[in-house]
Amino acid sequence: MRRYDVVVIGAGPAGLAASRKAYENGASVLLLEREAKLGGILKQCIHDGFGLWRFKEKLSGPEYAEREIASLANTSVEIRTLTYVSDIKKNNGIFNLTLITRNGIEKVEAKNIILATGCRERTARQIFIQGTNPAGVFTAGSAQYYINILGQMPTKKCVILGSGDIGLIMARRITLEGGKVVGVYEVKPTPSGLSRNIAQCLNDFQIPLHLSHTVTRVFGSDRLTAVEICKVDENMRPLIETAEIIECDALIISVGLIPENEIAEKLNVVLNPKTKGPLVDQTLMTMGDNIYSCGNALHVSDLADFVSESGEIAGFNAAKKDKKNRDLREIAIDKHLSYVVPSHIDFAVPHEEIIVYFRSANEYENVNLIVEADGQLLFKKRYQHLRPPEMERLVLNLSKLQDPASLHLRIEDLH
Amino acid sequence: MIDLVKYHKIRRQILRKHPNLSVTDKDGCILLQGELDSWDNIVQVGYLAASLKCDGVINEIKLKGYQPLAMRISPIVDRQYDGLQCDVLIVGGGIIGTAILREFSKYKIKAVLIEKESDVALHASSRNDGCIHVGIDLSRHSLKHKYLRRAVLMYEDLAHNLNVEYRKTGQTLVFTKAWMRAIMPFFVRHAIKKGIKGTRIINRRELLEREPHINKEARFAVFFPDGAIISPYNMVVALAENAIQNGAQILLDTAALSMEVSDQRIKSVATNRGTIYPRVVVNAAGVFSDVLAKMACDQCFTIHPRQGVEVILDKKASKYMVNSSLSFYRGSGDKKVHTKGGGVIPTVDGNILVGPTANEIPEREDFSTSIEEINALITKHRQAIPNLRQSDIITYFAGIRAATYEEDFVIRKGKWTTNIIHAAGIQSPGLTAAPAIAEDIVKFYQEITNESLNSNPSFNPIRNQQKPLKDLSESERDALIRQNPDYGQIICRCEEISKGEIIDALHRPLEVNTLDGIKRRIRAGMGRCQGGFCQPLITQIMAHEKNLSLTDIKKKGTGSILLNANKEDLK
Repeated sequence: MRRYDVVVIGAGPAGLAASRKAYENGASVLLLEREAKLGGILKQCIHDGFGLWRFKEKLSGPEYAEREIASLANTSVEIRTLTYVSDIKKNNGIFNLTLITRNGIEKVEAKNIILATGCRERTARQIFIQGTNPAGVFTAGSAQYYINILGQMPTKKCVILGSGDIGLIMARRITLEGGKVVGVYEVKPTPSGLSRNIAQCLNDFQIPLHLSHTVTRVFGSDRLTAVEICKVDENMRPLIETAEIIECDALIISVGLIPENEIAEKLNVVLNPKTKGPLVDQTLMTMGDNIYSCGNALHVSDLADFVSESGEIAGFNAAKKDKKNRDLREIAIDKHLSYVVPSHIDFAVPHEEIIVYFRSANEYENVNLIVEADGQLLFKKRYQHLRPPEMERLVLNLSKLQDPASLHLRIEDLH
Repeated sequence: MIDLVKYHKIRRQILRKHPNLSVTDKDGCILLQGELDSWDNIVQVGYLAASLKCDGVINEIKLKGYQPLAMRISPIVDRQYDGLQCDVLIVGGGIIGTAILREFSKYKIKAVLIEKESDVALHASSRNDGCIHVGIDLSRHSLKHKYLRRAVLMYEDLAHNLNVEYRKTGQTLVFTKAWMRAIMPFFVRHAIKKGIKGTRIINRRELLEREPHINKEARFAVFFPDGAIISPYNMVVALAENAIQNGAQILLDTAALSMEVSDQRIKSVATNRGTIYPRVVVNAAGVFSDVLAKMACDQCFTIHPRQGVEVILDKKASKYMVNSSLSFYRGSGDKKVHTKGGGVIPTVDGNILVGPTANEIPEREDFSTSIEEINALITKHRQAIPNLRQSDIITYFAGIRAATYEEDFVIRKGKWTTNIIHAAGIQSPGLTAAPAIAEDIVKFYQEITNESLNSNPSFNPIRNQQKPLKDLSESERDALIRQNPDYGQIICRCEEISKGEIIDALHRPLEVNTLDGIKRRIRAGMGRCQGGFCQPLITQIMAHEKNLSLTDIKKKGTGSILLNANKEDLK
């Protein structure tokens, strides 16, 4: 049975970057992909804006993916597409993977696993939309697949629920293809997507955004014929008396992404209830030894560029030889922050250049973000704006820190 | 014959409350006519009339200012089946209709089933909890009891022959009042007398060992080991496929619209696809069975639709729920409500189902749900299972019970029309009772035609069905993939369903025309992503296999095109 230093599961931007970095750091690497082609969800993201941070260029999703795929060309990374991981077990420190392929069932072994499995979309039923169950309810991602990959239109006139980035991008896409987007409705009082997408996808096309509104019901027994829209109160509960019926033939849902961690759960990896991704240290190793997580499986990122970066971190670290026992400390956060990745710092490995991603819990203006160890200030940064939809990234140098009892990340003077 | 004293008493009672109604004796049936302004009142009057033991309640009272929706039928109109002659025509492709069709396929006879929807099992037969009941709540004088008792003895073999998973999880009825323990020996003796084998009391300790996650107020329980679960729509598909393999015929998208009746005989049945000429008609039309009976000039019962909502929980939640079909006893108040009040029930697929509710509604096909009902369902059953959380719900659905005012099945030959047999008024425990009902329908057929049927020498009771590949041993699965690489290409990642299995599902004896049809047969798209990833892939596979364009692919019925906008529309 073949044994690899690193097996990467998922060949989207995270998995591609992780594979290359692991290879560059001297590992034998196997990259597994369920689908027929590499690139993950980038394949259907034909809009531009990818790579601004990483390549200082505006690329489309497929172009971005092509670059990442091309960078594997002269490496010894073994790539297997149409390969599905059906089981994974750990025995004596080695991972045994069962692969379903078109050639039969195969087994491989790995010293390290990188989970780059991406995320899935929340469904209409998970947000308790009521009424009938007709054709015409699509998640934004599947609508995107139908339009961009299959060249088919799933709607003539639709309502979009959720102002997440994919929802906004689909509002523009459907409009460009000749469909009518009646409006984008968002249950929260603030938009969920990036400001640039609100401007470029809605405002430029005069598509109205209705905040503090939600879809409560759908109508139509075969095909969707209308939706019911309600205003919501401050607790996001629909106000029935405000119900309004809007005729349309489809409801496109963009109400959040959930990291796919079914494999991680099989390996008993501890998940963060906030991100729905694994708890990790700065090397992106999960609480399970030699199991790494990156990209949208770790936490949902706004930009593919950050997904690639986290892939590189995981790949680089997974390839390291002679790992020491871990010395983990948790980073505590206050209620003004939604989450921080990594959730832990391992003081047994280098910690001078730690890349930290975080999101605020609410919108804040002109605040200081501070990092403290045992009550002592280590780092301070001023932010003009902090918005939950916009993930923040910073680099921390904790090299001076030896053995802190506590580690805090918080927003100053907000209580 | 109607008991005239009682009839006049009930008639006076009704008219005192609602003087504008008309109550008449129609040849042994009680006929209610007029108009009322509340649906609940109409239902109440029906029940009151049913307390008179007669040949049946015909409730034609209209709801003021309300026009019920017409029966939904396929938009297909052609002459495809025009002139078709058959010995028996079964109307309705639910559990009852397909069980009857399969029963007829044991004999040398031309049996045809018509179903108005694009697939079988689209109404109550797919919208229920999948319980094979023991029947503790049934009156010993009811047809429900009679057929259930016979059917439970047949079920395990039938499911085995048809390759449908049948799991005996048992049924647990939990009591919270210690004093009730004293009357339990009588309860158990009563159950055993009814024929419910193995009924026994389990004490609190054993109960909590078996069901560690229930409300700790539980004092003891009665356990019925014969209670079982199946996938109800898989059972219907299996019956349908086996019947077809044995020579019977199923016509989908075909609705009975009217009948030509003369000399107390049905001469022909007009459908949207042409006129069919059967010798005998079997009415298995579910919520429309009274409408069909009326078409046949033989309405001696009335269906009042009773909606029930159920929720399905993520498989991950199953670990801290129940191990058997479980419900809490809630006192004698239940008697007034025509349902056991629902429960928390495991499914053969490893999910947990909670429900159903019960709501009298005027519409026969209103499958819409409301957030209030779902909240109420969760609140209610959280008393039994404190772990129950709304966030575990992955989907929910509504079904409509075809209840009669007598609250019993109608299994009989026509009252006025001589060549119709009713298998109507079917609600719980219809899924359980179906195979026994089917046997009697075949008997009635022979009585009507005065012929005894010859057995079909090539009848094969076994339906061969490939097990889901993920349930096979690794070597078996590997061998299959080596024969057909499509078995090694996973399309539905949540349920681990391969391309090969999807292609197989599209080429089974009963044609599959819709994405939902594939979903019901092999669970592709039924997992936690609810088809988000695989639906576009399955759409392509289906178009390729059926030689259709992508814009022909439907989710459910004929009108449910998925990709409904072509480029011309959008210009």
